Amino acid sequence: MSETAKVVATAAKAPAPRIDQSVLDESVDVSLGGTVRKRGRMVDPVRYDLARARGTLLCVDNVSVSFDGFKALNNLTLLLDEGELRCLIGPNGAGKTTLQDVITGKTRPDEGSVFIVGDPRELTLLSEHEIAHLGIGRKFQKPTVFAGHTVFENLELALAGKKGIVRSLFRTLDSEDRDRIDHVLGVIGLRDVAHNEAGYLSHGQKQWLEIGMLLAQNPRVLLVDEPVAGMTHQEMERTAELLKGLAGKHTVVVVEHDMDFVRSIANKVTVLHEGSVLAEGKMDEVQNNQKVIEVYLGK
Amino acid sequence: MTHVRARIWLLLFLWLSPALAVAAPFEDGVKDLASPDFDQISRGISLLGSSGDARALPVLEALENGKVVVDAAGRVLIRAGSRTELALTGAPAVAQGPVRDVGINNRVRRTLGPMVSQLRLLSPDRTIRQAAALEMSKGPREDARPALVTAQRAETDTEITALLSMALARLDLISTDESRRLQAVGTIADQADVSMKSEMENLVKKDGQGKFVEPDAEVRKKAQQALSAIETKMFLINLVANTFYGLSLGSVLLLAALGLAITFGLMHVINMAHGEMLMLGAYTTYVVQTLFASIMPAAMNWYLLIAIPAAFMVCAVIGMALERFVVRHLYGRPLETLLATWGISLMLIQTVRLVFGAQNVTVANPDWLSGGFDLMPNLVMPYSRIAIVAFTALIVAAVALLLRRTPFGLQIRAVTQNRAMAASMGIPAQRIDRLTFGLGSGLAGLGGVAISQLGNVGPELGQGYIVDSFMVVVLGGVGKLIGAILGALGLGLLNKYIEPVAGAVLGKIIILVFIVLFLQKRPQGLFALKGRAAEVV
Amino acid sequence: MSSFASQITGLHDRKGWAVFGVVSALLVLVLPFVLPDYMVPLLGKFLCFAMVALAIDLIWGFTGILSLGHGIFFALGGYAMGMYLMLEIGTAGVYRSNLPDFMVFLDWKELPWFWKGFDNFFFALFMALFIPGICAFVFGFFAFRSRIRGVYFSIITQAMTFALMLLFFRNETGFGGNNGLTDFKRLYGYSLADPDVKVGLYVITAITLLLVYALSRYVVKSKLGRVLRAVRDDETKVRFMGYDPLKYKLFVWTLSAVLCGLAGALYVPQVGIINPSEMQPANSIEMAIWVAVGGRSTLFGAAAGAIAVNGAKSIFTAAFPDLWLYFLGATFVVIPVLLPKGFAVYASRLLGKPSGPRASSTGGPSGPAPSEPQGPPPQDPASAKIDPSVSPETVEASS
Repeated sequence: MSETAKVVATAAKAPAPRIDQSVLDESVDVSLGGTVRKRGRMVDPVRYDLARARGTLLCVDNVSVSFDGFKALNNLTLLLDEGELRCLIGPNGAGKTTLQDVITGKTRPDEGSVFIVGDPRELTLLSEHEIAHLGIGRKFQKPTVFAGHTVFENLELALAGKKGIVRSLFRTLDSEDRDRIDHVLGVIGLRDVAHNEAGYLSHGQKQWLEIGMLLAQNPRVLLVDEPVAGMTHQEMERTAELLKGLAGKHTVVVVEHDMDFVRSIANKVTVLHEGSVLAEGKMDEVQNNQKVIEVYLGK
Repeated sequence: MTHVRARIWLLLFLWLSPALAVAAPFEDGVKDLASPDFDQISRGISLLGSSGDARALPVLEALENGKVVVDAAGRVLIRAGSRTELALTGAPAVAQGPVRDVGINNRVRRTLGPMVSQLRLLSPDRTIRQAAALEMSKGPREDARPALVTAQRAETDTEITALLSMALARLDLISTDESRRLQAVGTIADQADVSMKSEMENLVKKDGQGKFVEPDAEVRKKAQQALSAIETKMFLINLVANTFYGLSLGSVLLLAALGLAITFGLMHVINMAHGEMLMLGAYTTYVVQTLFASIMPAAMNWYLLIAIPAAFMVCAVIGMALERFVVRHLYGRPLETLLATWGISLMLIQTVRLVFGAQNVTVANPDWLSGGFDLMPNLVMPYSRIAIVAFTALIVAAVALLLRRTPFGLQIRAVTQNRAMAASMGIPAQRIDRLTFGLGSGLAGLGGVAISQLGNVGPELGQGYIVDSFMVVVLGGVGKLIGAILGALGLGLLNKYIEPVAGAVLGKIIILVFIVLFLQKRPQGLFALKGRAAEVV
Repeated sequence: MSSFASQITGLHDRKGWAVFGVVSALLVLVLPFVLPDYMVPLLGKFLCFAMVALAIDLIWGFTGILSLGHGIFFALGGYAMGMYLMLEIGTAGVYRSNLPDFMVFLDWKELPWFWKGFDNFFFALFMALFIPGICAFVFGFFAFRSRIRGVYFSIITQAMTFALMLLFFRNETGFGGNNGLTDFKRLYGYSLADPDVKVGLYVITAITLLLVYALSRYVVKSKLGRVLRAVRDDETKVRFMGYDPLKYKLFVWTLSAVLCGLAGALYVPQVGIINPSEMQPANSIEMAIWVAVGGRSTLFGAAAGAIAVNGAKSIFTAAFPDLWLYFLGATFVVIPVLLPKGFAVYASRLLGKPSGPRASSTGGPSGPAPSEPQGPPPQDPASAKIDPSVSPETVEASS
């Protein structure tokens, strides 16, 4: 309740949204608040329509988060287009993880707004599972698969669809579900071990299983945190293939430290620094950006 | 100066009485007491009263208590326990022949009572005057009125004056004269004497026929004022008392919870045997006390000096053993650690039961901790509780220093914040765990010493504390000392504020519900580590 | 419909059904007629405890939530049934009054409002399930909503248990205070003293236990069971996959409380008394050890553990009363440290169940239902140790 109150209050005094200042200048006095559906407040319809018109899928607008006075995100704005593959880089503490936390609802921002085109609700007011339902999937840095479940069961749990108790209690898999799981098993190459417990998989296999779970979840936006950490060179190549194959159908955001890997998959790179976007563009441009060289690549 | 004036008043007052001043009034007065004639006895009493002799009061008091006898030789003797002494000199003397009591009839008593009151109320010794005035203020005798009036005029000490006017007010309250009643009620309202609450309530009540008990409206109005003044004062007294007891309970809770908070912050396991460490600390105190009593009873007052380090050491060693042999093997399984340490607590309780018996044992306070400090009327602060608050403050300061200023403290904080990182930097995390467990248990042992000073010590002493201490940790948040301090004091105060209103049982339930609701707002407690460190819990 | 039927038959493999059948026959058809009379209610009592163990296994073994307050739900169910039995005494009590004796003693003139309706057996039975259920639901809602978990949750349940026990100890609360409810005479018209009625009660208890077992088995075998285990192993991940753990936890928590209430309702007519000492925090903690001894997330083991521990308790407290607490305490220490999966490990070895990686044939196309879950899964210790977000309950020290 106070959460809502806080957001409303913030919205009232928030500066003009910064999606694209040139086109948004006249939207400053658009009234916010009022429209409330369920728990979620709607985002500003003007900004929402603009974002849709631009072909944007996910919009992170002017978000700030601080922990005990430390600003983890500082007026960060990030637009992700439908189907793009974006790499997020930045030194430790740049805010990469916090940004993912905000998008997936794990952390509530102090200020700012996040929304996904297709549902005009304010994401920062939804809970994690509601956001997941809207089509935002997340892969953690450490492989988190359910070690005691089989590979098959892991995918079954991830499978898109309604996830209420009654269905879970009474419904069994139909042939369509089975086909989808089988398909994903093929994509991630784990068909042979489908009925082994996931805990016995190798590190690389676990990473793939986790990506497979995201596929089964069929999200519109995929947040992938350091997918190749600790992988062998071969596994890395395979992962690159996998991610590139996903882009187009899904919007994929990859957070990665390994520059070679980033170069091998990315066409657009966003550099974060101290909680804000430092630079954005093609890998070559970013690499030659003087500011980026100073804070990151130069080291 | 003032007492000279008082004497003058006294003499003036006595001048009006039939007694005559004589050369040696004390001696004559005593002699008169030996007479079988009531009139002469009365005269003797008056003589003694007017003698201005300091020896007179004890004799009259003895007379009032029926302790004055006359022996066959006609000597006036005072019985003091099994001995008798001469009333004249106070020297021990053996009665000669059979003795008889000095005769007292109602007339004598009417002379004697006021005289004793006067002598006391006008005594040059302030303590005697105060005691007499205090006694009068609680329930004055009607016959003491003249003495009270005299004393009130003579008295300059404000405290005693207040007591005297209260005594008079009590007398005037039942007077038939409205103005007197009004004045009396006014005095009571001014002083807001808590003991007059029911009297004031009676004044504003109606009887069975719906008529006011007190006919005068003015008096009723004043009584109402007095009542509200009394209620305000009672509220304040209760507030102060509850705050004090709340702080004292909070201190005990803090001692109990401090070690738990540190180990929980460090290892994320809860030691269900922590309460038993309190119990063992209390029993260690008991053992030390018993040893002192048998080996060097002269030093009994100082047994705590040994008990404190002994309790710390005993519990620390047991705690470290617990860590080494049980907790470590359950690392990363906090719920099973909880169960296993609960098992340990069962065994500890049973062991103590078999060694010391299932009955409670008593740990006596040293002399310097018995008794209390009268903060205001109706409010005594026991020294033991004051000492516990101070002791807790000392311990907390020591722990804060340990955590902030020593390498060991630095290592504890490092492991608390990021175990993996700390371990990779060469901090021996396992050793830190063990020592910290020892520290936490030792602190609980100190808590046990404190608890032993408050009440009886039994094998199940610790059982009640584990939940309360963990509530402190829940409320305060993990990983910060200030959280534990505020959590403990907050819970202690809350407990004592709610208890008088809701009763102990409902109070406990209300507090629990409050904690659950509080966690809705702040799941991490009052002071949470934010950001990445917070994810561990 | 047919898929539901296959789900039911799929609860066990053939060997499992055989064991289930043998145990059922033994419990229902053989034991009540071969045991001496005095043993029947005792075994009936144990079977009630076994039901509690199943309920705790659902919430602890499968969902990773350790409740230290299930004794409350058990006692609430017991009290509801006790209230019925109390009113069923009618005027046969000491004071020959319509009111229960303790109310006469307290000089109460009429039944308090919350006793109304309890003269109806079915209402009382319903309340025996509903009251624990609603209490669990409300408490669980607030606790799970604020994401209280792990030892926090356990300790808060213990604190609640303590507070409720104090409440029931008070005479004014209206449940007989210290002495509780006792001196029952009849149940649904049948005399409780009659040995045949005792056997009847026992048989009803045994059948109920088997049904509760089947229900629990169905729950954990369904996808819901797999979600619960996922919640246990990594609640955050489950949330990011689009499940609302609150609903799942709340469901199983409430179910567990209802089953405990049922057990309590069956317990009271067999032991003939219910009082607040049933609510002691220590009792609730003891319940956890039944499950740990038998083996968590095995259901069967949990139930067997309850019977075994209580059997041992009956023997010990009679023969060596001073040693019982040592034995119990040692069990609390030894089982988690040396035998974290409980004795069920040995049982499943006897039945020849694999404990290593499963062969890909066991799942089969007929259903993804896993075979016998054997406690928290083995994990590679390296990843387990460094990952704080994984519920530590799953981490097994490889000792």
